Amino acid sequence: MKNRPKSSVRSHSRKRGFSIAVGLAAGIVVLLAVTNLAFYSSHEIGIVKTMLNIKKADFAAFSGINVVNARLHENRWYQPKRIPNQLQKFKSSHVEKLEDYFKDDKTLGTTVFIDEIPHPKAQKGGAENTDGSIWVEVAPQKRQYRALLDHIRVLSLGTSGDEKSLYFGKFIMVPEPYLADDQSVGHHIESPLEGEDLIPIYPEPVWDNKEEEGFTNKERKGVVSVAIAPGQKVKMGQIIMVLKFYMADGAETTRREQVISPYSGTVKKVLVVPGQDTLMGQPVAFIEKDPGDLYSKKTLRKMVQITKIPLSIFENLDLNKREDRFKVYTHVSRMMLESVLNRVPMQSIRDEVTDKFKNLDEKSLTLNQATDLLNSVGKPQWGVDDIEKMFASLKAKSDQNLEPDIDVNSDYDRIYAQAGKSVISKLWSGFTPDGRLASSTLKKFPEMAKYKLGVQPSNIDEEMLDLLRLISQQHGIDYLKQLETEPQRHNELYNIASTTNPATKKGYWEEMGNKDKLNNGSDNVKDYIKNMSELKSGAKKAVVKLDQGTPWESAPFEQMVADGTANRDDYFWWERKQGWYKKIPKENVVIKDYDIPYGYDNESNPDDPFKMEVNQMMQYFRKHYTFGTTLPPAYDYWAENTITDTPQAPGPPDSTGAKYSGISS
Amino acid sequence: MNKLFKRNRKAYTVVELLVYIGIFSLLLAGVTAMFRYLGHFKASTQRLDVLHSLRLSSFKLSEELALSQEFLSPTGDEPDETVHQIVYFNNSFELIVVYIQKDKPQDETGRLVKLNWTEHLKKPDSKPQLEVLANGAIELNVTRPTRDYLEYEVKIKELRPDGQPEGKVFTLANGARLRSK
Repeated sequence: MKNRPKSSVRSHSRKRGFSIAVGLAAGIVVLLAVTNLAFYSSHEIGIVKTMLNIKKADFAAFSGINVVNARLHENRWYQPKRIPNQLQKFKSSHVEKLEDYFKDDKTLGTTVFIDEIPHPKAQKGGAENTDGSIWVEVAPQKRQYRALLDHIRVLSLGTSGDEKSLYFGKFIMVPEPYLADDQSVGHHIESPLEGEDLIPIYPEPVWDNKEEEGFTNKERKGVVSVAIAPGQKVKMGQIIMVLKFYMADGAETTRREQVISPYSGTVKKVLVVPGQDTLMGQPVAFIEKDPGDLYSKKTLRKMVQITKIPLSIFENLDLNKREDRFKVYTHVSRMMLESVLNRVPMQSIRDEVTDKFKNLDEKSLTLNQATDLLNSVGKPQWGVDDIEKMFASLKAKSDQNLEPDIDVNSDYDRIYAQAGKSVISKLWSGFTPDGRLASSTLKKFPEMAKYKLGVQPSNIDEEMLDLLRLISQQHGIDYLKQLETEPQRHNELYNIASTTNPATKKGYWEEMGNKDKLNNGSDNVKDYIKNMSELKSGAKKAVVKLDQGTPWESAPFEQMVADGTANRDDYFWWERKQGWYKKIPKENVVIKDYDIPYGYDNESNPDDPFKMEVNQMMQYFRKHYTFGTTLPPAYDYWAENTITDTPQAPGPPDSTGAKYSGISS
Repeated sequence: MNKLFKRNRKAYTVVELLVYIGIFSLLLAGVTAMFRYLGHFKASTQRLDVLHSLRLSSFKLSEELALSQEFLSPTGDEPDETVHQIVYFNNSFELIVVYIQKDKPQDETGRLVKLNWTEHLKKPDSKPQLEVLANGAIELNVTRPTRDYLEYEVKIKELRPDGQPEGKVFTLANGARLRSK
């Protein structure tokens, strides 16, 4: 034991150290391998999870748009139900987290942000109807001025885990509903007296013929004859009764008023009888408009401009704040502008590009091959040399809340207007309404459309025509020729067949398109819509004022001439009336043109025919691409306007004198 | 007894050596196998990266297609027709062409690229801007079963670090339905 060599002890300990080192090294290697495996696996799982969450957030956001779209087709559920004649507050914005849609997945959520945008011309009060507001009757003898809602903007934020996605949609409605209301259905536009299924007919206001007859009784008129009865059909412009005037002292006059029907329809009530007096401000009859008439109670509604908003635009914004939401809207408005401006040039090369690639068998292309192929198609024209400058200028205009298509002196505005017209015509040619139409019906729907003029053939009363013939001879002016309307010269204009392809230019499109060109083409979209949806001089109204004094029978007149108190040359003999009437100056004969709108009439589905004014349909198409204000409103609520007024009788106010009037269409 | 355990440890016995060599060989084999596995793992990870970038590109492409204005090619006239390019108007009405671009026609693989032709038309003096969606692309097959639905299949081959094709072929299929209609 004492002589045990030291080396055995040392070698024994060296062996132990070597094993540990080897074991340690192997352990480290194994650890590295396992760690890497775990890292890459989790990394890969993380990537897959992230992509899955992005997809889920995307679907959640898009679903939000669909949910809001479906709800808005019912009503604006976030607004209070309107109570007439009560002052109520209606929201300009609404934020809601959609519950109960993702019950099984608590990581998924959708929040919708709604902003209501009033019509740009909506007024809180005023004396006239404007595009953006309308008079409605809220009580007998009382009217109210109601602003209209232009569209509703929707942002839908979908979240899944840490990922989020945002979609934008614009809900449009034509005719526009009332701003202070919970409905998304359009207002009725056919009458300034809103809400009536029965249209009241009022006598015209009383005028004085002071010089000849003194003051006229302004409170009542007498009923001479009634040409209608309940249940009877009447046409627009038809004379339904004759009234007489009284003097202030109650004496009768020879002046008469012919009451005409303002619409075609059915007489429902007649409130006067011959020999009775009627008080001013009281209706004399009620008519119900024909269901086949121009105006329709349908509302076109749709969610358009559905766009995904890039994360970089909204990730640092608080969408609960309206001013932040309007920053997103500014981005969308620019996108829409770009989309519209690109449309016409790109559509011009669309067919050629399609043909080139249709016949291409190559599985791959070099860059030169691809560019040569696309260059061979031809250069689309934007209409300006510096396209980037045009984009920048129109975007700046849009940011300032200016409509980019109304300045006819600007090349850029004209280009934008041209693009807008292209959008409208494309949408129009393929238009089908929402609803459960069979696929066979959908296919033939555009071809089945007819365009019906808002007036049908009618002529002025024979008595007035007789008068005009006499006056024509006196003045040397052919008033009867002047009364001839465009559709009377070309009967086919009363009812025109449709077209499905604007490019072929058949039917309505050709007729109205040619007229648009004859009117020097319309530089802005507003004029374009007017030219394409209305017929100039579709109807004419003639007004003849016989305010030159009392007419005379033959004998007294001859006596007056003999006495020198009357000059025969100043009078004319009206055979029909058997009397001498003082000649009237030219300015007493007024023939006024009226542009008459066309109605779109489609009976592809006989159970539910589609009828709407063409002007309204074109406004609906226009809303597909326009954006509107990018400035947030200054208020959270709007209340109903409380200005009221006593309604005037339909028709323009008359100046003094006995009067004949009639409509030729 | 002590003599039996009294050893001069300056040298190893054959048996000890064999044991050491055996253990070391086992360890070495294990480590080598581990490194080889790591190498495979690295290759798999690279493939996953390639697949991931392809998936991401495909995801973005299908998203853009879903929000586009109109598909131009395939035309959809024949639902069974297969073409090798996707041509469409995107949400901003820009003309976009997705195709496989090769530097030379005889190259085995190319790049799946997206060309914004409208951007180029606005700036004709500049070069066309291409967005590379995937490298190593072999084939793009596109069909349009209905007017508003489009399906596409992309085949890519894994590339070596020097850019030469090698290894497995990946196929990724996806579809997009027009949401704007």
